Amino acid sequence: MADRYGYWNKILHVDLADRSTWVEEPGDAFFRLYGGGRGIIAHYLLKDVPAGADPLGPENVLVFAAGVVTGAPVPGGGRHSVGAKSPLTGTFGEAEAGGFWGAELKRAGWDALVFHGVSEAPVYLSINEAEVEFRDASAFRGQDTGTVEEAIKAELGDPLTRVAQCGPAGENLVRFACVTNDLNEAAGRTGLGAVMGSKKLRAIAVRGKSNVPVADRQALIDVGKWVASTLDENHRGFHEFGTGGAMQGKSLAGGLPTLNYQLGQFEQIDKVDAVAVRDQVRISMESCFACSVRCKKVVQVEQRREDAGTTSNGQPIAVDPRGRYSVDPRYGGPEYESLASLGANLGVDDLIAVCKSNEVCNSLGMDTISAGSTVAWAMECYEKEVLTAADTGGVPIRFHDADGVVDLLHLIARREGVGDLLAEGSQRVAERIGRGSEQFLTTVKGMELAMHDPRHVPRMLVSYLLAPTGGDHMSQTGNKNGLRNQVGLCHFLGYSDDQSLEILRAVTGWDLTPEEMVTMAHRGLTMARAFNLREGFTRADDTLPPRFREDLPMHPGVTQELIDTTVTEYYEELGWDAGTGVPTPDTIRRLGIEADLAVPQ
Amino acid sequence: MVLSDPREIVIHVRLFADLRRFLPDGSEEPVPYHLPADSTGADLLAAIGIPEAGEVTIGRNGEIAAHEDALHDGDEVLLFSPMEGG
Ligand code: SF4
Repeated sequence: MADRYGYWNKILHVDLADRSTWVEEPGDAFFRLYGGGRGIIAHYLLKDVPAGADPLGPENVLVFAAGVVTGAPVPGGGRHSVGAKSPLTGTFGEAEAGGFWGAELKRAGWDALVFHGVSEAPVYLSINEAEVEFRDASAFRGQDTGTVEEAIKAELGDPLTRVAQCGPAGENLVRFACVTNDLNEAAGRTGLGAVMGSKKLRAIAVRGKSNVPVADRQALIDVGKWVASTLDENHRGFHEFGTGGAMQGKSLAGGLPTLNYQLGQFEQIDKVDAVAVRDQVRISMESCFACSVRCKKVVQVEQRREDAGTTSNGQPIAVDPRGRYSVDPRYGGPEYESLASLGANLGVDDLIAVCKSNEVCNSLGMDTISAGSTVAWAMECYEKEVLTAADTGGVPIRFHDADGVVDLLHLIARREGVGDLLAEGSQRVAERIGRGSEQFLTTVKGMELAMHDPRHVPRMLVSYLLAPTGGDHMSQTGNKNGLRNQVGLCHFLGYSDDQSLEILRAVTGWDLTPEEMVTMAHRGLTMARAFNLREGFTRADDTLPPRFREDLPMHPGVTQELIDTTVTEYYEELGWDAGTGVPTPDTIRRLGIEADLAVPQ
Repeated sequence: MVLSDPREIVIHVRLFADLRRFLPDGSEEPVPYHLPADSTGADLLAAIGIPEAGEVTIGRNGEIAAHEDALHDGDEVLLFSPMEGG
């Protein structure tokens, strides 16, 4: 064997139907071709999911893929991707998460897991280095993620086990259920938790003890030292607030999603931004694997003063003055996306309720963006009497109703009452009820946009129009989002492109060039595009819903002309047909993915 | 008796996101900045020492302000750098 760094050349396949497993060793060329994450996911979706397969049926596969950087001792190297055909959109489904689970998977000696089929009974998989075991999960049905994670750690007798799981929302096939890991991290988007739930796979516990081999450990240690010693210059905002520290600015600039994207300013934003979180409810900041930036908020609230002690540094823990909610710190705290989607975009200025809503999403396993945006859409419909009490079973769904949101999120996760309807995601419900409700949608290809209004942040436009997953803000072509997500490197780290290249080289020992990095990102995107084309998506789907054609008070609506040129330019950049977006035979050959997709005639 | 200099204005500044690295050590917000009368937003950014100031969004008394807008004594200014969140 040649020296091999950054990966093990080991992919674990699991057939949930007959509980068999096998190990695939795809070879070094495979890892250099795909890099991890999206590339590996696209490879298995194209190969193993038949066209037109039901995303919630036995033919879908569910892939957990680390990248070559995941698990390497470098800040930001703790990310992994989860993928399947999406039950929310029917497109290529993928989401990424940080924390520790992905690095632990690598440290257990695995590069990826591919789940086939459907289990007959609820099951969880325990992976301890090479040892793989199916274990009964029937007792976990309906239990929140915190209870299940603790039960698994106790059952396996190892508190250092890392757990990824789907939550009750996934079990109930909520179409925007997420896959949660380490309780406070989520591969949030595209409904992958529902795929996991459909397979009756409640959780994957991993434990690893092997250091991932790297080509140049010293270079990575130096990068780590650089991050730590330049924290103030490069990551001060993230370190101090996490995401969401500039929401007051976004609102002033008229670009903060407010009342289902009808407005760009939320007057009460200083009550529900990351500054308010820091000042009122935060107890600490946590980190992901090997990262000194520590940008993950942890919040805690108690219902009663007598239950509220002090934080580790002696600060009093927040109390809900109205005695309604406690918020459990095991579930972290709201990131920017959640503050916006569960706060401003719903007209909610009640910080404790926003933190509670975030906890409900994490403990029951739902994507905060799609959950919040589906509720925002329903609120506008209700206000405009497109949805009535007759549709909602008498439940009023009103903007500004903070407690109503918390209740509604429970109903959705459990698919009870009106929650059963909304669990389908806003676009499906709009298709079902009609009555003009599609005018209020904020979806692309069926997925609700993230919280960056393309009328205010034009560079998001290309991601929303062309992300293979729909309204996703994380799929630009460049190295930052395109490549980093694929290889497992956090995009919040202020690395330059040169530094990213240096990290990739130091991990893998490959003689990578900047061009090859771009090619690797384009390969993943092109394969995902091919999957969507195969599923019947066309250029007509690379568009924005009517809401974003409307003007905001401070920013004009997006024009059809701008959409057309953005789409065409992107197709050209990626080497796809400028009219149809079909990857050209030349591009397929240049990317070396002929085996993954037949060259179109 | 010392009269305040009529040619000087005091601006109360809060810094957000990555701009917080320009907070003087140990200072409480809002930070008072003393500037010559007729100073603009751009002058304030220069006085604080923010490079690539063109990227910075200036909020003044709850409204967005242009970099060339004149500041007035007592203005409450919020400064933001573009920051991604996910
Ligand atoms: S920057 Fe934040 S999200 Fe990224 S790896 Fe570090 S702690 Fe995690």
